[in-house]
Amino acid sequence: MSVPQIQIHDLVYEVAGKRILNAINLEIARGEIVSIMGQSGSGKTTLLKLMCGLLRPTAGQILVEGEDITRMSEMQLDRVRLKMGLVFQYAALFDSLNVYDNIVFGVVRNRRGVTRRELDTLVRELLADVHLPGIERLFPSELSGGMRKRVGLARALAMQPTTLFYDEPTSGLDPVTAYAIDALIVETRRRFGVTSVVVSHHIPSIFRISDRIAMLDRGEIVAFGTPAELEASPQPAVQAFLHPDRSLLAVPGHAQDGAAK
Amino acid sequence: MTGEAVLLTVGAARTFLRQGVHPGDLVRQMATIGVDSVWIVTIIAAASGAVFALYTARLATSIGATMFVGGTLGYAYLNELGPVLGGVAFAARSGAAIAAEIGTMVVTEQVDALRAMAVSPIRYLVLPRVLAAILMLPALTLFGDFVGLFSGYVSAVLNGVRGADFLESLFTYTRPDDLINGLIKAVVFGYLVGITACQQGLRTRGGATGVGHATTRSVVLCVMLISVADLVIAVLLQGRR
Repeated sequence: MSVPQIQIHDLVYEVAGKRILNAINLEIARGEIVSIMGQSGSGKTTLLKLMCGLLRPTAGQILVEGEDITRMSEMQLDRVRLKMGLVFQYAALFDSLNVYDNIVFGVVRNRRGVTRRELDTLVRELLADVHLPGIERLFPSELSGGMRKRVGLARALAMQPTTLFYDEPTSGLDPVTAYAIDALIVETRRRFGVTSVVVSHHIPSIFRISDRIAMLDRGEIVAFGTPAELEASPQPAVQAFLHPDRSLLAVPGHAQDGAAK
Repeated sequence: MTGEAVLLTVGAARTFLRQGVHPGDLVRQMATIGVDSVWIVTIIAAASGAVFALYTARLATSIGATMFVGGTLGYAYLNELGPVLGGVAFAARSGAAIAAEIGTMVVTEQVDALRAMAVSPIRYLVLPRVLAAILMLPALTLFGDFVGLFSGYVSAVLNGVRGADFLESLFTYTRPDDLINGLIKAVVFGYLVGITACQQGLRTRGGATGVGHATTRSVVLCVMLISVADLVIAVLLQGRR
């Protein structure tokens, strides 16, 4: 049996004595799309940054392809990060660089001997992959939110990662663009075989793209399973998150149909 | 804060020794920092040189000591006014720009993006800026010295000092060591401005307000550090003349 892409054992993360994540255990198989959902402030992005080695846990282990990244030095971590891609919530494109330079940045900085022609081909292909051909010379300030996220994905793919992390890929986007981003995540997995970890609170997206879903509530994973298993979960936190309209019925001042009296 | 700056310095030095600096990054920063600061240095140097010469010339003409005006200005300008005013102008313009740029990169997750792509923020952001500051501030100081002395010459002549007396006094009472002392100060000030601005930028938290605070803190700290370092260096270099 192959080693899981990511294994998390008894992970704890604290900031100034405050526990943000508690006893997290998670296993993500190769090529799987796993979404981590939960309310704002539940610790989703923190968990994602821990998996990328951008934050150090207080306790516990994170194994990426069998290697424990929690005990690595920054230089050792860099070797692992070359196999990871991170698509940020607001894309985090370098605003002093144009789209072309943003996409090739990681490649130019980490690989020697890449020719200009190879870079040109790489950028052209990646922009075609994310359905944004011909925007090489534009700067991030000239792009819409959806375009930025797609350029962010192209930048992450340029490093040919085996794992892709998406932080709120559809937040702030209209439904059509959100659907396009979802399709892109699934297509990217199909074409490149990457393992994908998606942090989101956008329920339609999560159920559209995920093989499995983890529900994070107040720093703990309270449910983990397929979309059907999550839907059927008796966990109050899961049901409250999936069906906020039902929980609103308990709020005084709301009628049975959910409309305010 | 001091501890963080020391750690950042050690990190930058270690990165420089292990990996060097990307020449393109260094040249780009030198060009940016030089262009950013050259006008403010020119204006401050011209004004301060002229004002200093104005007061000195008035006093000297009243007591019949015009042969000391050029030497007094040269001695004061090369040792003190040039590097200190240049350093303060540099902190206000380039130091603030560095802190604001890095601070914005922190709050928009661009620094996290660098780390996620296995690119060291110290190598990409800190090292080129600190080295550029160390190299460019002495160059700006040299330029500011020339501008300050020239404007001082014009001001002195307009206030009753003969041009020949001014130049003779300047070359008699100032020595190469005065210029070198000023340049030593400029190197130290350049390091202080570069490392403080980077450190303040990297510890930015909390969005646009945080960037504003980091920028302000950077300028205030740099001016204070320049003042203290100036005193220490002046004492240490006393025996050089």
